[in-house]
Amino acid sequence: MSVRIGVGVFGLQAVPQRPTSHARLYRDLIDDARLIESLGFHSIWLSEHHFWFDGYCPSNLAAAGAILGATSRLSVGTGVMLLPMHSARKMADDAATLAHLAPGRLQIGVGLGYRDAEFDGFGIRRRDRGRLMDEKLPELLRIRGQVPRGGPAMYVGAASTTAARRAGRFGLPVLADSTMDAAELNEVMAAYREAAAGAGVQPPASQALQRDCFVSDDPERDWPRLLPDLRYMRRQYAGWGMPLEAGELLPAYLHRLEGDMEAKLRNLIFGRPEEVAQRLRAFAGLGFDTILCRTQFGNIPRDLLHSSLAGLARVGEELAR
Amino acid sequence: MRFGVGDFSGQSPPGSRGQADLYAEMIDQAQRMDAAGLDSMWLSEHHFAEDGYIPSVLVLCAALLASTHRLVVGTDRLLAALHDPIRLAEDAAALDLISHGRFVLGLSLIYRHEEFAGFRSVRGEDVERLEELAHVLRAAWTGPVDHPGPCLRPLHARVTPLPYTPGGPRLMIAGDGGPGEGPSRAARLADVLMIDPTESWERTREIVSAFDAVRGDRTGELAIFVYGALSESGDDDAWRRIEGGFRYMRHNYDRWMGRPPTAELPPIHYRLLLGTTHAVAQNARRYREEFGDRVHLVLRLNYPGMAHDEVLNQVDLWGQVAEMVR
Repeated sequence: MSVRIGVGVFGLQAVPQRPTSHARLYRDLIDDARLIESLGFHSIWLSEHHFWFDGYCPSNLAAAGAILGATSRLSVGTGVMLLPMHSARKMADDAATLAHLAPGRLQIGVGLGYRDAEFDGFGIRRRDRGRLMDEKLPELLRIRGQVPRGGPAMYVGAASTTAARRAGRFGLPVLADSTMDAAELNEVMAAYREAAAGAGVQPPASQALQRDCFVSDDPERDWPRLLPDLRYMRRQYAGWGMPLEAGELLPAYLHRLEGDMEAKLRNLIFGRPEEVAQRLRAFAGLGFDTILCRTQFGNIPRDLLHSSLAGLARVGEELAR
Repeated sequence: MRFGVGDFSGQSPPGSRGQADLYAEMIDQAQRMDAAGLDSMWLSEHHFAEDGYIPSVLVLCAALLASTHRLVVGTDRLLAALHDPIRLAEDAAALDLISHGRFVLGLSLIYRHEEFAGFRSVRGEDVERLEELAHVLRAAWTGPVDHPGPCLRPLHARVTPLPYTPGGPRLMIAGDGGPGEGPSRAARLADVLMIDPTESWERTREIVSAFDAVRGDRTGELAIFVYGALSESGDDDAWRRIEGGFRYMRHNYDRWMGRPPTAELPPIHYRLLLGTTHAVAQNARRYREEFGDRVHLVLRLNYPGMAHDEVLNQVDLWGQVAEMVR
């Protein structure tokens, strides 16, 4: 199976270990998008969060518009936009407008969101997020009939069997989260196929997977340089996904966070191009023809990002064969 | 004095090129404006229009800003009440960051029944929503938002990232309605006063003086919009080049406003800029004589259904006018 490689995820974070102005981060994003296009990748992927101190990008479609305006061939994906926090009509209009501007070059991945502070900021309740997703997805899907080539490709972000079942019911492909191992992915995709069958829907052949990947020609040199940013990113997501529970003592909480972080770091693919190609091919064998390689972790040093992108481009050529 | 182009509506009259062509052409046209030494380009928002009038101006602004170097790109009439205030604050900050301060956010009231109904927005709250939104945007672009309502939902959030421009992108509001309404609102809440191209010279003077009176100075920026076209063969040929698109545009707005179709075309009382570069430059100088160097004169030289090459030709001629007047 031929595999398309996308790279990401760009969240435009001014991480504390590397303070950078957001004007600079946006300029770097455009420069990186042009580089990613020139390296022959299928797509660049953005990611959305709100109200975070480091300025994590809340405006994926504005950033997508800027990238589409500055490149000519590259696709842009959102991995993922938090649909419950958006007006589905506004998001559909924005996506349709970009799909007209750049036919066939937009991919929209949507997810539920999970941070309480984000739901609070939009005046909605976290516990309503599933219902809001079920209500808003059909409204978002109406754009498929309105724009060239059927409009943007749509994905439902899935880090659990529940999300995969929703994708299956809607007949949409999943964008499987980077933190699952092969066994978990098989479980999630089984739930997906079962839900699609239950809804009488033929699931699409094309499915997408997100993986944390770093390609290095000198692993011993790069690993210690990369590790602080990797740990920072994983600690941030672990803290967002697992808030301190009522009555939980701080040492126990920190232990739980560290455990989650280490478990997820174990799913990172790190190595020389041939090793990374081999491991990605194994994931492709689980039924994923689009692999979004997450090689931007927060905002890693630019020379590391660029050397990993160059290595990933070789991996992409290998997998396209 | 500065010179802009617009607004752009992305309308596709029946039988003409569709939005995929029009949006790609807008990128070309923006780059041509940049090259021609023009200062700005403006986009306008409407919803549920059969001709595809742009419903999503901000994502297009992002693409235009990223494909130009010097040009200011703004919305002349973003329909304030139809946007979530936090999302709008986030998106406008992103455009300001992408462009290093080249984005201007023009806010507008709504008049079409279909837009109120389609978004379940209340006509009676439209003015208050715009005013609250302007306050919320300013707050969001400097620190935490703590807004109790009454028209907007209660808002408690700290928007990140902050914009490139301290305090956020410039706001623009139109001087529509009586002196106590639009001009006063623009003076209180916005950085730039917008004057609609349908306003006569007399009304334009009234609006500017009401705006200046509330501000208490004569330094507020004026974005004065005007319809027109250029041709070195004179005003008849200039009009001929835009006549079809102008009629389509005007009659569409007339229908939306519940008015009979404008019969007098071209409507002379609109301050039209029609004719040779020399003649139009003479007329453009009048704005500086009347209002000073703070004028940003925005010419609509692009009309629905017009050929891309003709728009580029008009942009080049307007660039020559700008050079002559400066």
